[in-house]
This record gives sequence, structure tokens and C-alpha cells, in this order.
Amino acid sequence: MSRHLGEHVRLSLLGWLTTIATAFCFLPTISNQSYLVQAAALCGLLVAVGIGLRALRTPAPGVLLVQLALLVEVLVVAYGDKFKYFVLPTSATVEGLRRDISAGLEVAQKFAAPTPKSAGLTLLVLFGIGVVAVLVDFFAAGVRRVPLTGLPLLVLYTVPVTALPDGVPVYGFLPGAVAYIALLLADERDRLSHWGRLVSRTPHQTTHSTMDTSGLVSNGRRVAVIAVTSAVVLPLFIPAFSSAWFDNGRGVGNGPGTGTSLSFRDPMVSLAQSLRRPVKEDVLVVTGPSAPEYLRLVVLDQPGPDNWSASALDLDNTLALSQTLPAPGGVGDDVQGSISQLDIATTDEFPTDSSWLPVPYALQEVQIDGDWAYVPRDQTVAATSLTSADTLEEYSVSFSRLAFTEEQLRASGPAPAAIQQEFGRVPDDVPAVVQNVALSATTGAQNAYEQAVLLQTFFRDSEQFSYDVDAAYGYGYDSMAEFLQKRRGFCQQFAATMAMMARTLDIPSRVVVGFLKPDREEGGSYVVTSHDVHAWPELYFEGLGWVRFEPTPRDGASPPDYAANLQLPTDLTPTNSGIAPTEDVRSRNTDTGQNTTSTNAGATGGSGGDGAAPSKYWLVLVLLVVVLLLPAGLRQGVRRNRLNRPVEQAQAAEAAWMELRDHLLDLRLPWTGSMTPRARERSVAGLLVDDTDGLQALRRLALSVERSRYATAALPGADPAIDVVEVMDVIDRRAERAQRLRAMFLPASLLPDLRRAWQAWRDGHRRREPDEVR
Amino acid sequence: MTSVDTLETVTRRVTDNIEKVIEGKSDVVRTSVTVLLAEGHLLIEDVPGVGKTMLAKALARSIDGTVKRIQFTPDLLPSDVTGVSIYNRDTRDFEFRPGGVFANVVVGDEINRASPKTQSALLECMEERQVTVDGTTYPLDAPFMVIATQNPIEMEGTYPLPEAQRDRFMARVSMGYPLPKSELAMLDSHSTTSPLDDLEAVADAAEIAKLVDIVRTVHVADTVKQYAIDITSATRRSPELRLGASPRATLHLVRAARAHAALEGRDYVIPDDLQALAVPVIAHRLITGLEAQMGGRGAEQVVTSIIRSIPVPESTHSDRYV
Repeated sequence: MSRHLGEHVRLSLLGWLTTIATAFCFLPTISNQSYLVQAAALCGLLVAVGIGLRALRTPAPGVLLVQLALLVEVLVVAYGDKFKYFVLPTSATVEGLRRDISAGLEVAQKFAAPTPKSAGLTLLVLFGIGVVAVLVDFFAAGVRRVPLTGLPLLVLYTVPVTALPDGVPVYGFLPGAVAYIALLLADERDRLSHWGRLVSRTPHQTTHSTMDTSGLVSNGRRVAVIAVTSAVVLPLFIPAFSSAWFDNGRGVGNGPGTGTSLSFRDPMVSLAQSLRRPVKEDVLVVTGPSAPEYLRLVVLDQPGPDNWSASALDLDNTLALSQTLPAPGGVGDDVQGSISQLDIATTDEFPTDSSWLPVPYALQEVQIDGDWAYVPRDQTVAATSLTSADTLEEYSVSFSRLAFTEEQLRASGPAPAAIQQEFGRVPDDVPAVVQNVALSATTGAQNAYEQAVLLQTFFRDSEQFSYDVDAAYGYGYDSMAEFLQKRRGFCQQFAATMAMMARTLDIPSRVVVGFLKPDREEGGSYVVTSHDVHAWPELYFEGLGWVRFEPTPRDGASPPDYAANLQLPTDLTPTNSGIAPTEDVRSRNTDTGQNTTSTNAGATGGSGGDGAAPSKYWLVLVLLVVVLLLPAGLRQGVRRNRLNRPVEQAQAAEAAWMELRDHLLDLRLPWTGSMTPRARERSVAGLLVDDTDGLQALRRLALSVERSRYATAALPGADPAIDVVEVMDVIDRRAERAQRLRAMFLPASLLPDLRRAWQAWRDGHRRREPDEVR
Repeated sequence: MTSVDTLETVTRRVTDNIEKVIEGKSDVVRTSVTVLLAEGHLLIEDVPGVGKTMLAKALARSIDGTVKRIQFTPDLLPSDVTGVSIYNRDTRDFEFRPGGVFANVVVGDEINRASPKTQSALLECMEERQVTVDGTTYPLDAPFMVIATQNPIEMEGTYPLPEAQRDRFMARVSMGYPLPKSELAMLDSHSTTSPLDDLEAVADAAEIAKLVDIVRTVHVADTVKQYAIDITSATRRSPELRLGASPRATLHLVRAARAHAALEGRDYVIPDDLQALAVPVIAHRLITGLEAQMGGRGAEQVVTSIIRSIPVPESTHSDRYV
């Protein structure tokens, strides 16, 4: 009994260790890393209580319930306040916790990993780890189903996996994996020590054994290497799941950006949704001495994995709004500008979770209450807290209305290398047709300005392109080719495609999402509605900075003055023939269209990494299949290694015998105790019933083994590998289908094999140690 | 024809011959022949009237060698066994007159009815295969085998064999009562004449000596030798036994296993041979402790459970296959 108890304690402690090791995977997701210490203490307490209760012979479900209750109580006491009698939670406690938790959930939802410190979030993480620890304890020590502990551990592991766009780093994965394997091994060892391996593993036997276990060692290493390689190396070759995996680009997403950054609701998706809303809602009321300008919200300058996305917001590189803001980067002294002022009031329709403030370009001053900061790189104003927009009512801005002239634009030289590098990158998976069309559309252009205007003209040609807010495209850059072929779309597609085309022509570019210049006037104010949401490209011209273009042929979106007219020699005017998509592109586009027409929420203009390509589902499926097939694959590997390796007959016989043993174990048929080959033959013969060929093969196999062990010469003319295959075939034929399937996919022999390999490795290690000491 | 095949043929002739007389006891017959080929001595123990003497005589007669029978009685003298020097008036010298042991096969009937002094006279003959009388040593013929019968020690008028002497017998077998069918057949064959009278020798002494040589060549793997040692040393550690098996028992076990293997046509010993012979070869040498006696377990049962508990030797080849 005491030994039995000792095993439970050992398994409990190992389970605790495994849970904490698995909890390492949260390290990259939370900046408050003290959670690990708290989790270790909390789970330690739970496991200790479990051990104590089991020592008192409490039934397993009872232990589980007590542990869960304790978990809740400890967390409530640690994180709540306003208790009755110090420990009893009151309704105020519950309310406080509820607030904490919902704040934690919001933080988890809105901030990219690692999330900032939040008591609610830590509480949630601790609760999750605690529940897993209790379940692991229940499975490992309570009901002795150690392999099942993998399920809660896996659930724990999936949380950071989904939160981290690049997956969990190796240091987050390895401790848990190693600890889990250790747990399995410990259990298997205990189990076997109960069930009669005593016989062959008496100390007496071991000391006299001259058996060379190096083979076991190498096999064990092989299995370990395969497992670790698949787990660690394989993910390097398949694309990591982005945070968009589970929301597929719709609605709330963790948004663009990695690193220490705020991430926000996706502007592009909101854009498409907003434009498609049947009801036009008032969003902003703009008052000022003169007509307002385009209001910018957010800049998408990164060609992400699927489409344009915003750069990470680096809070260190923002400016407080209390000061006069610097002129936008790249604007030269000779650019004329007139100062204007606008008072902007938000309506109830303005989203309270907006992370961005609608402001005009070339801001000089912003007067606003709340947590907002200026982002000089993008010339935007970003929220620095989650509640910034909650209290937003009105604010006023003064800005410089820059007047670019055609001459200035024509005279602009090439962009500096730094800008070119930062805003000029074209991803490899942008289809060649984008550049081809860009080149043919800009035939005859003498400089970057002419190229830009020709691109704009190309898109604004109403005979070529039509504005259609319901146009739906899939994700990824292929959608640009599709758009160029279908030639229907709205600002998303126009802005995104033109910006990318500009880049293919070496003009630095980015996409801006914001509001159109409002044209509805009511009582001296301009009203910006939900249908004014817009996206447009900005191209960089040296000496002028970022210059807006307007490729979208929609009402209210007229091209800026400096790009409205372009005179080219007539023979150089680009023709349609040069622009027509190639056959190849057309067929590709058709394919994409079939795949994506049903994706209504799809947005070609695409957002910060939130579009997940459907092919990723296949990856999960493939991965799942790989995981499911792994035991079968390993088992087949062991079998091939045994049966196909050219060795002398004695070894071949022994290998075939082990294969027969493992095959029976896989089929959950008995292979117990220590028997001579003949005795074993008699016991196995019962499974073959009257199959004469099978019985003869079994006879030969047993004889081969017997001779390999005890005689001086092998059995002439016998091939144990063939015999064992025949015997196994006969056994298989008589087994039930379910039995065979289980043997194939869940081979029971694999774990004992691993255990043996481990034991052999350890024995080998121990044997070497005294030598070294000597 | 390989040597092992020759052995098989000859021994089959012998066993078939014996089984003409002893019906339904083929395992006992086989053990007897095994002991013969392993150069050991056989002790047949059972209640009177089940055919002990018949088996001994049948085995002796099947071999065309010299056979002598010594009826052990309380008044049997050691010199009756070994021989005596008598003064010859004609030659005026002492002349050695060989005793009952000078034969290829000696049947010692009811050996435990003689006094311990006489019993121990057999000791030297059995172990050293020679007799020393008046300072002169006389070698015994080869092959030489003592087949002794005895009644269980509980029977009246018996002297239990000392441990040292029991240890010299390679194996002990019990006849057991015949099956009803065999007993019926016996009534037919034994009613008028003794079938023993018709029994003819089917192998001569030289042939048997050759077979013994063949048995000596049977291969015993190191792991199998170790297995034999494991078995005997387990009897020494067993809490149920007061006296375990001697090293001579290990020797006898391996020798008998060689003969057993050869009888089955193999030129190598397998653990199954040792398992089959462990009880007849080891059990009669053991003395059970109080614990086993209280539990009603005899030495045979103890040996059987020891065999079950010891793992059989496995591969000696490097285990590269997990």
C-alpha cells in the first residue's frame, strides 16, 4: 500500500511539474511574468491538497471537486477585495472581480502579445493553469490515465499559440513537452513494475546479463529525435498561424503589428462594413472657417502576408499633443501652406473603441482631452489607452493646408534610400501582372509624377473601371490581379492596388484610411457620414513628402488639383491593348474568383494580417493528420527497421520475434511472462487455430529463435522476416476490424518500446559512469 | 545419418521395447532412458506392486549387457554388494569374488530395506564407478547404471536413504498407478506368463556407450547453463526448503538435459529440457521446511513454482531492435 501511495505522490508531483513546464508557453504572451511563480505556488498548493486527500482515501472525483473549489477560493481571496470575515466573498467582491476579468479580457483582445500588466488577465491565466493542474492531477494520480493529461495540457498550450502570430518560441514549448514525456515514462515504469516485468528484471538477472543494450539506446534516440524534430523543426517550414486565424478577417481582430504595440480594430474591414451599411449615419461634425480636408485615420504601409497592414505602433516614438507638432517628414521649405483650423465633434455613431483620431494631414496643433498621441511617422493621432475614445466628444485641430504644384512634383528627385527601403518593398507574392499593368499604364511617363498621375488616370477611366462597393475579393495579393481583371471594386481595391503598382515603379507608397472631404453642409458645419469612409494611396515625392492621389472613381472623390490634368504627347498615351490582362492572369483570376466569391466580408484592400487564406485550414488538417499518424508512422519505422535490415539470421530471428511480440501487444493480445520460444509458440498457436501455413511459419519462426539463442548454428533455409509476416497476416485476418485499426493507429507497443529504449539508455549511462570514476 | 539421429533410432528401439512391458508410462520410461544416456543412476520410488522392479528389469534386459539384481534386505551385508576376497585353497591365495554391482545394469530392489551400512556400500560404486576391497580397486564396467527401487519412507521396515546417497541418484521417478485401460491390458498380458520373459535385448552395451559419447557432444549455451544455476540456487534461497540443491544437482540437471535434448533429436539444450527435468532431477534431493509441510506442499510443488518464477534466458545477441 505504501508503495502504491508513493507512486501517486510521484505522479502528482510530476503532473505539477508538467503543468508548470507547460505554463512556460505563456511567457512570450504576458509582460507580467511573475504569473509563473504564482502559478507554481498555486498549483503546488492544489497538488499538495490532492496528495493529502488521496492519502485519506478520498475518491478521485471528490479530490477534484475540493481542488477546484480551493482554486476558486484562493484566486478570489488573492485578487478580490471587500470580504466578509476576511475570506467570504461578498457581492461587491464578485462585482470587482467581474470588472477585473472583463478588463483583462479586453486587454487580451486588444493588445498584441505581450500584453501589458493587467490583474484581470493574470487572474484568468492563473485560473486556466490552475484548472489544468487540477485536471492533470486528476488524470495522472486520481484515475491513473496519464496519457489523458495531454488533453488539458494541449488546451493550455493552444492559448498562446493562437495569441502569438509567429507561434510559441522553442523555450515555451520544450519544457512542457519534455515534462509530459517524463510523466508518461514514469507512469509506464510504475505500471510495468506492477505487472510482472519483475520476472525478467530482478537485480540478479541484471548483474548477470551480458545483453548489449546499445541497440535500445540508439533506437530510443532515434524515436526521440523524430519526435523533437517534428515538433520543433517542422513548424519552421510551414507558415505560422496568424492571429487572424480564428476570426478570418471579420469583425474584431488582433489587428496588425507585432512587438510592443497597441493593436486595434481593423480599419479596412470597418471601412468595407461601413460603406455597405444601408443607413448613412453621421459620424463627425466639422466646423471651421473654410472647407475641411480629407481626414486621415490610419496609415497602412506594410505589405503584410496577405495585403496592406499598419506598422506596429511604437509608443516610444509618439509625441504628446500638448506641443506644436513638427511638419510632416519630407516636406521642403518651398512647399506653400496656409494654416487652417477645424473644430470636430463626434456623434454617438463614432466608434467608442476607435484607436485613431480623424485628423487632417500636416497637423500643427491638436486640442483634445484624453489619452492620445501624435505619430510623426504616419502623421496620425493614435489612442494610448483602451478608453481614449470613450470620452471623446470634440476636439480642434490646426493644420497646414499644403499646396503642391505640378512643377514641384515634376522636379522631385528620387526618394532617399531610407524611405525607399521602408516604403518601397514589394512582397514576392505580388503577381507579376501588377507590375506589368503598371508599366503599360505608365508608358511614356517621364518621371515619377507622370507615372503616378497616369496610374490614377488608369483607374479613374470610367470605361475601364467601375465603382462597386459590393465587389468581393479574396485575401492575398492574388486578389489584386483579380481586381485588375474584373475591374470592379471600391476604394479598398483602388487604393491598395495603386499603392502597390507605385511601388513596382519604385515610387514609395502607402495606403491611408480615413474620411473623404465632407460635402454636406448643415448650419455652417460639414457632416461626415459613415459612407464617407475612404481609403487612398499616398506616394512619396522628395521635397514634398507624402502626396495624396485619388484613384477611386466615386462621387466626392475628385483627384487633387496637382494631379487633375496631365498633358502627354498623344503618341505616348497608353493604350488599352497594352493593359489587357494576359491569358495566364485571367485563368488565375478565375480560379481565385471561384474560391473567394462567397467570401462576402473579404476585402481586397485587405487589412493588417487579418485575412486568413483558406489554404491554412488545410495546413491544420494536414498537421492534425500528421499528429494522428505519428504513432503509426513510428511503429512502421520500428517494424521496417526490424524486418528489412540485412543482418545475420540469429539477429533477424530475434528481431522478428520482437516484431511478433509488439504486433500482439498492438492488437491487445496477451504476450505475458517469460516463456521459452516453444512455450510461446504453443500460446500463439491458439490464435492461428487451423491455419496450417501460419502454424508452420510460426513453428519455423520459433525454431529460428530457439536456435539463435541456444544452438550453435542457425536454422537452415529459414527466413524469420517472411515467417513473421505470414504469422502476423494470419493473426490479422482473424482479428476484428476495430482491433486492427486500433493496432495500426494506436500501437500499444510503442510506449513500452520507448520505455525500454529509455531504460537501456539509462543502463548504458550508469554502466559507463563507474568506468569514468575509475 | 547424423549422430543424433542414430541416437534417436536406438533409443526409440529401447523405449518401445520397455513399453511392451510397462504400459501407459511413457514419460517414466523416457526419463529412465534419459538417465541411462546421461550416465546417471535412477531411483524409482513408489508403493509396492506398481511395476518398479518390472521397469528396472525391462530397462536392464533391453540392453544386451550384464544385468544383476540385488534384493536389499535388512540382513544384506556390504560385501554382498561389492564382493569379497575368499581364500582359494588350490592357489593358496585370496581370490576376489565380485559382488552384485559388477554389471552394466544393477537393479537394487527395495534399496531402503537394507541397513544404512549396506546402503552406503553402494556410495563409492555409484559415484566413482569402482570398488575397493582389501586395498585393491576394481573398476566397474561401462556403461554402469544403478536402478534402485524403494518404497515410500512411511512404509514399515524401511530405512530412509541418507541425503548423501539420494544426491547420487540423477533422477527419481514415481510410477503411479496405471490407468484403468492400461491395467486391463496388463491383466491380459501378465495373466499366464511374465512378459519379461519374452523381452529381448535391442541394444548392446557398446552401442549404449557410443550413445553416451554422442550425448556428451550436445551443445549447452552459456545462458542455458546460467539458467540451470539460477534454478538450483533459487532452491537454496527458497524459504520453503530446509535443504536446497547441491552443485552436483546442477551438474546432473545439465547432463540430463543434454540427454533429453538428444532424445528429442536436438544437438543443443533448450530451457524446456531443464524445465521438463527439474522435478525428477532436483526434487528428491530437497528437504522441505515446516512452512511447506504445513501448507501441504511437497518438494515437487516447490520446484515447479521456482521454475515458474525464474525468467527463461533470452537473446544473447545485441538487442538492436528494442
